[in-house]
Amino acid sequence: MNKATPSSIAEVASLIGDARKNGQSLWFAGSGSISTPGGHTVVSTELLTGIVDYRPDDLTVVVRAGTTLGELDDILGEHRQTAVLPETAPNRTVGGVIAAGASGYRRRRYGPTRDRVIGAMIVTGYGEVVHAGGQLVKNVTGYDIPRLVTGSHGALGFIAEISLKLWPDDSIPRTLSAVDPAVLGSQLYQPTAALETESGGFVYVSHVQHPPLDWSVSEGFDWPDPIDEPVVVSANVPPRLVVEAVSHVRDIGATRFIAQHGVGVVDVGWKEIDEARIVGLRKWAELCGGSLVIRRRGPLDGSLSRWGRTPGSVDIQLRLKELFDPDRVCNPGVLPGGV
Amino acid sequence: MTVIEELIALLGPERVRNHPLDLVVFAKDSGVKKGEVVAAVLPETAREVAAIVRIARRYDTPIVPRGAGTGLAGGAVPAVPGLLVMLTRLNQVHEVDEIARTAWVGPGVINLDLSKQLEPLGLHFAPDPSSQQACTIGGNVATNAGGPHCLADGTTVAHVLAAELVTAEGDIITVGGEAPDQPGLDLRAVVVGSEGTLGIVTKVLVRLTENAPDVATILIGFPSIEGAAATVSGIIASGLIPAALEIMDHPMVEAVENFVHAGYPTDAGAVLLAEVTGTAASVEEGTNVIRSVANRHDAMFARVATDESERALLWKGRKAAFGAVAQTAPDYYLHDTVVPRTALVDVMAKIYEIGDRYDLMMLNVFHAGDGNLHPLIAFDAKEPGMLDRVQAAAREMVEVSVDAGGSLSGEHGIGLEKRDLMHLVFSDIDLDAQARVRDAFDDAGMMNPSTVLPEGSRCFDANGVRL
Repeated sequence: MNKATPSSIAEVASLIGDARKNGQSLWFAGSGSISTPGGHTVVSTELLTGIVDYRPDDLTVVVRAGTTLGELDDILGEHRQTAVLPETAPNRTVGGVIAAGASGYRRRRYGPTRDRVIGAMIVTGYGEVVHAGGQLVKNVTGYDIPRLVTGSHGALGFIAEISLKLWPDDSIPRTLSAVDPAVLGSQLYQPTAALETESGGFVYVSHVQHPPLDWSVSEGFDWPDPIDEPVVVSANVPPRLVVEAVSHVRDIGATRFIAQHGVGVVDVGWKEIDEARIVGLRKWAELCGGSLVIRRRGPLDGSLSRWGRTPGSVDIQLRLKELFDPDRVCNPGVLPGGV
Repeated sequence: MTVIEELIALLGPERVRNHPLDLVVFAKDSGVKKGEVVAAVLPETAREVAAIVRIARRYDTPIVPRGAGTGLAGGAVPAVPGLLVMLTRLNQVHEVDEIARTAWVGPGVINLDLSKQLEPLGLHFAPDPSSQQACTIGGNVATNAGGPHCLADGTTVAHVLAAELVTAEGDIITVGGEAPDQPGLDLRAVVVGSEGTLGIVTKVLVRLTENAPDVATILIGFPSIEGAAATVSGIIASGLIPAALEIMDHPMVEAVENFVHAGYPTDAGAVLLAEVTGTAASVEEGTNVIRSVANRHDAMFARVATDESERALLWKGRKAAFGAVAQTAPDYYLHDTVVPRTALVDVMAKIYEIGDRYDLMMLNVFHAGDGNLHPLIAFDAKEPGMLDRVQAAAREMVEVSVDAGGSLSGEHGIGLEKRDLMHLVFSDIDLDAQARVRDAFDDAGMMNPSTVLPEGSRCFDANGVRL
């Protein structure tokens, strides 16, 4: 597999321009946590790293795509600030996380990652460099392209730089062990997270507040280890159905799971799994207006699609793809419906 | 048949308004731009909206959606003769999910009515623009509206999980959903704030916010606006994000006091209205931080509202500011720019200088915590040359904001008002990309054409060659 490692935005633009002329397609990769299909030249962000502009007093930062979450955390940590990105993936890149639209566990309190993406520089399938948004926490000047490219998986172009809104770090983080995290989470004011895993329930708080009963409390945020099984999926369901989702997941014998109460995301991992059970879980999730996304395929048969059903707005999505990347140079077919 | 006859056949004569008086009344919103209305129609369901779009399309008549008409940027004003689709009758709260803290609501629901209805559940809709007694949720979605409390809670886009949308083709689709992270491009994110150019929103799934167990509202007086602005920058830099940080300058305090008697000090050069919410302990901690930063910047006093009625009165003063101005001059031009919060002191000084140079009466009340400025110019449009002076000064205020790393609008939108200033912040290529987003939803240019983007924004053809 060919691999290109551009060290400037101009190089990215000419890579895309050349691929377009030569009828080739490219696949953008961050840390490589999401696998790359064959037949494409991989464009890595590994040389596009570092902070472009950090303004601690404004609580904003502009960062290059290849910067890892660990590097960003170290820099922001010096000012006790956070971009509230995924907590347990220090080697993933900021660009990869934004492209995937991935959020961390603190989403219940701070909202999804997308709500903190205030600006972006992208290189479209034409090889044009487009700026959108800015380094401002509140801004309605033009269409919100930064939010649109968040979660686009590179389908509209290469995400080169990202501007993020920051939060002060939680001053008094605490982890409470909870028999019923859904209930405890709803009794507290704005908990940071309420997680349920195969080994118990945990509620995370940052305000000074006392749980209604005598729960066991530990200092700091003690996040569950990432799921590292051969097969990993995310079931995304309306938040009120997380309890039901957990019971389905237990029934079909998950090796690991992390359910986010109040959010609706349930990540599940299996050592071994019968494909029909995943199909059943997907059917249920889609019936309730949600989805089931295959994160790691392992030994699963290729016939099981990554995303499941095609969204109702696919016509508009295909037109956006056509208008930003007419020759399908950028991660072709990465999204559902061939977008 | 004519377009009007077809619309009457669909909706009946009572819901198709084209009396000359209607056409005058609906030709503008609350800003200064006037447009030309062919007729104003009042659908009651999404299916009717879809049918209207199909009829308008057949007759090549552009469509402009409109809520309560409280917008200030001309986003609901047809710049070319168009059909105004009034969404005020889609005003049902369809269902409230107390556990998920969400509600499906019609775009015609009035912002404050929704929060009032949710009060018994201990919930509210967080975006709270100053016009919240009149403005609609649909209008909030169109402009990605803010308000004082979006400092901590985020603007409308953070509170909209899904929207039912009638497309430019007259199809009804849903963008976003009840479940998080819907696979595919997040069209919801770009529909919010699109000022009616990407389709007509006919139902909105809003995220509801729980009311805080404790709250402190603090009024702080300063000898000058510099002290107030420096205090805001200092509070943010200290690592505290309060629920709201609002500044009013001396002329605005005087106007408000004459109008609602909120107990603001008329001897202060500026006041800062700060609010912290949360648990009792975090509210106390936040209040102490604000007091200490204010003292470092020579605050004259800091008074915490002692009860709910005093708190309500302080907020009434803030939210009545624009009404108060109406008493001082027949017309006003309310501006909306945004700057990095660390640039507040410098940019405010430049804005006062511009007001003085053009000899204009200027009052300021603004969302200081977000760096969102609202210089308000009070004037009499009958005075010869006055409107030109006001608009020239307004443009300079935009330019000083942009020069400081800011942008054209923080919450009012671009509309017709700032469309031709988009080049101040975007290159031709950037604007072309925005025009492509619009074309993906509406390639025939039916939906609120002429707004948001300047003429000729689509400047590259399909081969990337400059047109």
